[in-house]
Amino acid sequence: MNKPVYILGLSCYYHDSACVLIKDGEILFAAQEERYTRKKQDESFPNKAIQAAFDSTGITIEDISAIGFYEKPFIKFFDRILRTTFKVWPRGLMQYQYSMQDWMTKKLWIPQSIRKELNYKGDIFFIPHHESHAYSSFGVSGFDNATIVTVDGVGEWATATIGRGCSEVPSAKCQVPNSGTWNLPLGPELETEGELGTSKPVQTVKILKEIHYPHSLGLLYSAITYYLGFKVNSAEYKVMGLAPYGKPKYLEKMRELIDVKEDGSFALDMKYFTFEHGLRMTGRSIEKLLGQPRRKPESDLGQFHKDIARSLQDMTEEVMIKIVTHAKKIAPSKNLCLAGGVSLNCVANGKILRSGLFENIYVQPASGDAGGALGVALAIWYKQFNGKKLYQMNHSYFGDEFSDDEIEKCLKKEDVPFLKLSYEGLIDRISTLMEGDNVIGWFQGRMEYGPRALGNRSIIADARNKENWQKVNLKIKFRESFRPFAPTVLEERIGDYFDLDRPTPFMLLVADVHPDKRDEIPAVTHVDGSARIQSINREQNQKYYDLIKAFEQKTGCGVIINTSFNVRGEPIVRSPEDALNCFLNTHMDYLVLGNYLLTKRDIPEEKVLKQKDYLEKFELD
Amino acid sequence: MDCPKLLKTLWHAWCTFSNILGRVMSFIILTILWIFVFGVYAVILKILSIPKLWKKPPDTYWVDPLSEVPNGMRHQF
Ligand SMILES: [Fe+2]
Repeated sequence: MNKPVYILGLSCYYHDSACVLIKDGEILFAAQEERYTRKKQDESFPNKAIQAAFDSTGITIEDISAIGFYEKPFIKFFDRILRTTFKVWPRGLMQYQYSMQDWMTKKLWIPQSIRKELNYKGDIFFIPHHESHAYSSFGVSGFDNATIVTVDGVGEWATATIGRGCSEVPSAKCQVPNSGTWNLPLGPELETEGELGTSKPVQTVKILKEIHYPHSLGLLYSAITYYLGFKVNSAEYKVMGLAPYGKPKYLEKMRELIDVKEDGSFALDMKYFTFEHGLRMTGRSIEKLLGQPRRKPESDLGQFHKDIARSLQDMTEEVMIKIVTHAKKIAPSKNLCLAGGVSLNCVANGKILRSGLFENIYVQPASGDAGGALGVALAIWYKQFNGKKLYQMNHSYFGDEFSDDEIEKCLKKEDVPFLKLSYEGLIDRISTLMEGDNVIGWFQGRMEYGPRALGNRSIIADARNKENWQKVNLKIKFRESFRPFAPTVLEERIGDYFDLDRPTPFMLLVADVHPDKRDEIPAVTHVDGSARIQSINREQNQKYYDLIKAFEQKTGCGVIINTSFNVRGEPIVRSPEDALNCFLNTHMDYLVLGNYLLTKRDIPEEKVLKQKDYLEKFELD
Repeated sequence: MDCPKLLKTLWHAWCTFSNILGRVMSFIILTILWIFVFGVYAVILKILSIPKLWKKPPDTYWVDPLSEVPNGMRHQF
C-alpha cells in the first residue's frame, strides 16, 4: 500500500500566521495561530496550530512528506526591501533599523526555523506570495479553468496579479491572447499548440500580469484605515462597514491619491504616503489634501470620516471592476477566482458578481494571508505530486473540535451550573430561546478556518429584533455602535430575502435585502439596505442548519444574526474555556457548548461580569 | 544543583544588561552601515536614475511577473 502524502502549509511572520495540513489532497486541518495564543492576528511561528493539527489527526512530523512556506523570503528582502531602502534613503532610518533586525534574526532563516521548531528533515518548498493566494482559491474552487485575480497589501513585489488557472493534462501548450505561450495545461477556452500529453490532468496556475510595490490597492485601503484612526491590517472591514453611512464626496480627492488606467492597473502618488520610509502609513500631505488631521483612535466619528470611508470604498470597487474586466480579456473564462486580503471586501465582491462579467465567482474563506498556508500546500500537491483535483471547498470547519466529555470536564472544573440536552431537545429549546432579545453563544463542532465565524464559534440572536443590533454591539462585543451584523440564511430561502441567486457560504458577498423584507429583519439590514450574507445548507453544518430551520418553523423567519464569538480585539474563541470566559464576562444570556446549555441568571454572581479585567487583556483594533 | 539566590539575581541582571547592550550595539552598527554603505550606494543609484525623470509615464502599470528560476519551488528566491 502506498504511503499517504501529508503536506503542511505554513504562513507566518507577517500577520495572521496559520497552518494547513492536507493528506492526499484532502484538507485535514486548518487553523490560525491567534486562536491558540489568544493574540489577535498573531504573526509568530504557528507551533501551537501545528501541534493541534498533529493531535487531531494522530500523525507526527515523521509522516510529513513536504512543508511549504507561503512566500519567497529572499526576493522580499534582498530585492524589494533593500531596493526600497536605497530608494528612500536618507529617509527611513527607523524602518530600516526595525526591518534589518527582524529579517537578520528571524525572517531570513525560514528553513532553519522550520527544521528547528518541528525537528523536521524533509523537503521544504517556497512559492511566490501571490501564487499562494491564487492556489488557495483556484486549487479548491472545483473549476476546470478560471480567471484568477489576487489583490492584497504586498507580497514580494506584487500587490495585485492576474492569472489563469487550468485543470488539464501537463505538457500541452496554452496560448493566452496577448500573453505568449507557456508549457502548461489547457483550458477549454484557450487555443492549443502541439500534442496533448498523456498524463492525468492537474490544477495549474500561471500568473500573467502583476502590479508592483509600492503601488498597492490593499495598502491604499490600509493607509486610509490608518488615517481614519483604525488599526492597520485588522480594522479595514470597519471602514467597509462605515462606508454606507457616508457619501462619496471625496472621490475626486481619491483620484489624486491613485492613478487608475482603463485596464485596472494603478499607481499611487507616493507623496501622500509614508509607508515606504516611515513607521506610519500617512503623513501631513494627505491631511492637507483631505482637509482634516488624522482621526485620533477611539475619538468620535464625524460625517467627514464616513464620507472618506465611502469615497475609498467606491474607489476600491471601481478599481476592482476594472481589474476583473481586464483579467477576463487576457485570461478569459466564465469562472473567476478571487484571493488576497482585498477580496475579503465583500461589498466589492458583490459588485463584481452583479456586473455579470463571470458566471461563477469563488472566494475562499481564508482569503487573506492565513490562506497562504492553504495555497502553498495545494501548490505542492499539484506541482510536485501531480495530485488529483480537489472538490470545491464549501465549508470552513477544519479546526479543533471538543467532545462532550471535554466540555463537561471544563464546566465541572469551572463549577458552573449547566443542563445537558438531547440533540432534538437542544434544537427545540434554543430555537425558542432565540425569539426576542436573548443573545446566545453557540459553540459546536470544528472551528472555522479564516476570519469569519460561520456557525460553530458564533454569537446568534433574532434578526427580527432591531434592539439586538445595539445590544450585541455595545453590551456583548463592546464595539463601535455603527458596526453592522451579518445574517445567516437557510440556503433555500436566500431569494426570499436577498437580491442574490446563489449560495454564499463564507459571508463574502454583499447583496441588497428585498425592500419589503427590510422591516422583517432590521437587525441585519445595513443603513443602505444591504447585508453581508452567509447561506447554510444541511450538508455544510447539520446542527446549525437544523437550529435555523426550527427557528423558521416557529417564527416564519429563515434568517438569524450571526457574529463571531469574541469581544472587540479578541481572537474568536477556540475552546470551551475561551467560550465560557467570554460568556461570563459579557451580557450574553445563554451559552450552548455542544449539547450543554448554560443560563446566565443561574450563574453565581461572583463568577460573572468582571469584564474590565477581561477586556483589558485584548488590544483594541 | 540549586543556584544561590544572589547568583540568580546577578545572572538575570547580567542578561538584561547584555540584552540592552546588544540592542545599542546593533543600532550603532546598523546606523554606521546606513550612512556609509547604504548611503554611498543609494547616492550612486539616485544619480543613475536621473534619466528616468524624463521618461514618459507608461500606458499601463501592469508588468510581467518575475521569471521563475529552474526548480524554483525549492529556493527562497
Ligand atoms: Fe497577501
